[in-house]
Order: sequence, then C-alpha cells, then structure tokens
Amino acid sequence: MAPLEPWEKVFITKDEYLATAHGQIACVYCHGGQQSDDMETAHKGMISDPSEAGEGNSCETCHGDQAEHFDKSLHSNLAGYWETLDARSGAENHPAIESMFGNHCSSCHTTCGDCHISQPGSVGGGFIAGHVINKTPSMTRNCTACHGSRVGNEYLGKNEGTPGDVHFREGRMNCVACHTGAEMHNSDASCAQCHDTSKVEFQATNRYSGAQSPSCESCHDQVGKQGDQVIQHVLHAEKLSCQVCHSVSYTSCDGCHVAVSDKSGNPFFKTEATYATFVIGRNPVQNYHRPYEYVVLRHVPISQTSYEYYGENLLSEFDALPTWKYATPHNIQRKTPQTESCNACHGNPDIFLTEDKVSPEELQANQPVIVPEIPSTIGTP
Amino acid sequence: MRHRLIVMAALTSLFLFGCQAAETAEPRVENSPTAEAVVVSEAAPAATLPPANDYCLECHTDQEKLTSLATKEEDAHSSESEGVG
Repeated sequence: MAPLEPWEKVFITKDEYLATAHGQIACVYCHGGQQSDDMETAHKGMISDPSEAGEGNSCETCHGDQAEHFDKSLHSNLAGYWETLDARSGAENHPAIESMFGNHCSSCHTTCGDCHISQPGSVGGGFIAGHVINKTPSMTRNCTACHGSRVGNEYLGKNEGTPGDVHFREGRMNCVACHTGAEMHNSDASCAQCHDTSKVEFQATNRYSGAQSPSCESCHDQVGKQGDQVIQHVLHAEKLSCQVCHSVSYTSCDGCHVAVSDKSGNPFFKTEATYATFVIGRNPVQNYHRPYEYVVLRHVPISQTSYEYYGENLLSEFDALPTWKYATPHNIQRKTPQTESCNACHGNPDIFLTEDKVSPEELQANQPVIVPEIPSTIGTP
Repeated sequence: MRHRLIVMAALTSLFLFGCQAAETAEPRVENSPTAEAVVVSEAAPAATLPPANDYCLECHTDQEKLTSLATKEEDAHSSESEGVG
C-alpha cells in the first residue's frame, strides 16, 4: 500500500464531506483547538484523533451503543499482548517490559477513527476518503493494513503457491462479512448471547477468549450434525478444528528482536525467519468453546532474547506459554491435501508437531502442544 | 349447532380485535420519524454547528495551501525494521 502524501493525509474533500451528517458539525466540537486563521493558534490544544476509547471519546456523544464498550475491544486495549507478556515475564521485569511495549507494540492500538476515517497510524495514517466517515471499514486500507503479513496475504492468496481463501475467491467476501461490528466494538459481545452480562462481567484477554466469534458454524450450521452427508465431519466433530482439514500452508515466523536505533532514536524490529508451515498439534486452549483435541499451530516470532535490548532475561518465564500457538489461518479450501484420504493425516508424521520439529530451547514451552504419538494409519496400505 | 355458533362468534371477535390491533400499531410507526427528529434537533445545540467562516475547513480543503504547509512526518516505526512484522 503506497503511503499518502503529507497533504493528502489531512485533506478534506469539501463537497463530499459537507454532504454528510458529520459535515454539519463544527470541527472544534470533536477536535478542540480554536477558530483562527493562524495555523499555530488554530492547532493549539487540538486533538488530532478524538476517537480514543474511554472518557473524552467524542464519537460516544452520538454513537453511545457502539462506543460505550470499545475499551473492552482487544483492538483498543491490546489485552492479548499483555496476557502473553505478563505470563512470560516475572513481575520484577514488568517496568522494562512496559517501556518496550510503549516503543514497539502500542502503535497497534486502534481508535474508532483508525477504522472509520483514516488508515491506521501503524501504516502512516491519513484520511481514506477526505474525512468522510465510512460506516464499513475498507478491507485493504483498514483491516489488512494491520493484519496483512499473515491474515491478509493468506486470505487474498498472496503467498506464492497457495490459493486465496475460498470465501474470497468464490464468494468475494470481505472481512466484515464474518467479523461483525458488534465483535469489533466489544470483544465480549458474543458472551451476552448466553450469559447475563449485567450480572457477570467478562473481559476477553485474547482473540481466542470466550465463544468463537465468528465461527464457521454460524453459516455452515449443518456440519457435523445429524444428516450431514460428509462422514468425516461426523467422525471428527469436536475432535478437530475446522482448519485442521480445510486450511493449507500458512506463514510462521521466528526470532523477532526489538531495539531503538542509536542513529535515529526510532524503535525498530528484526525478524530472523519467515516460512510456510502446516502443523497440527494438541489444542493449547481446549475448553467448552474450543473442545478440539487437535488444531493447527502457527509459530510466533517470540524468542528468549526478543527484548534483550531492554534488559537481561526479561522473559524469565519463557516456558509458561507455547511458541507454537493456536491458529486460524485465513486460507480455507474445500479440498486440501488433508481431505484427499484418511492416511493423508493418519500415520503421516510430516504434518504433526512432534518433538523433532521443535528447537531445543523451546522444547519445554511447547510440551502442551507437542503430539506424543501420531494417530495410527487406517486400514491396510 | 349452538357449539358451532359459539366458535364462530369467538373467531369473529378474534378477527376484529386482530384488525383493531393492527390499526393501532400503524400510527405508532408513522409517528416515529417525528419523534426522532425532535431528539436529533435537541441533541444538536448551536455550539456543534460550523461557523459561517470556518477556518479549519478553509485550510483543510485547500490542496495548494496544504501542499505548501504539510511536512513529511518521519516514519518512526519501520524505517530500520527488517523482516515481516
């Protein structure tokens, strides 16, 4: 995605914008600052993005239903990062971890405007359509602008030799076809479908907290049920996540290290390796909502020395979480190498996460997901 | 025969009440846009309206002016990064 020119980032398309409801509101009502023909005076006290979650979010004035719980959205609170950082580091290391987080991770934080007005700050920012507020975010300029290197490339078929997701190739479905506004505005929205959330408070701590939202069954509701003609669905129901049979090769990464440049003073990262994988392992988050015994796993680029720039042995509890993580690759296919025959998986050591595929320094961390014994071959060869 | 008459009377009154209920519901739907309009006008005090001479818009809709004033921000995150983020 080509970056916008500096003027383009703040250029308001007058006719289009003034024709919208938001064009009827004074700029200073949301942005502060003051009316002046002097640029410096006009910008004094101005809030460039008044759509941060929490108090002072100007969107909430009119869009209370959408903005009210936005601080519970993982896009806003980045709780998923904190959960893993807290688990892998001792309390004594948290101050150093927090300063690392401020330099390298917090730019992934999302405001209302990052999805509805501008490109996210992490890809340079700038108005998408001259400050016209889009009800539906743009798939490529919002969603995959951040979720590009894995989800975006997989879904759109940009990884060489791997077709794009069938929902995109055949159905031209964009992200919001499955990921609803309710899910984006409040990561706990799905809890209310079964629980009385006025009595029990929920807080999603990562993207796999709580109910699957979206879930494949939301549309494919007959899969695994009585009358399903595909016997494999019935046999494997609740034993395998859908992706075990229906996803193909996806991206894994190794060895991300972060630092601040001596030259420019800017934070930067270096990733040692990026490669295609397809690995089935034991489910590290097995629960009521994800009862599967086996799931596909993606290697995340954490290493024991990822944050060594900020201090020695900051990830003192490195073994607390696997480095091969529960994954939901976005490259679903009806037919895959796994669906060709029973023994494409049964008795095939190549596609299971066995000890020999895990680097020695990560062996302990990955004990919960390593498959001790691969499922045996079916029938006679 | 008497039983049949009672059933018919009951069905007729149910039918009539059903129609009446539907008629009552209709005007409520028609009324709702008026109610919404009142809420919107109350929620839009004069302070939210743009001034006649809006300096913010004057500048931010002028491409030439912005081109001369806007400066390139330094990319603080990715300039020295390597690999997939």
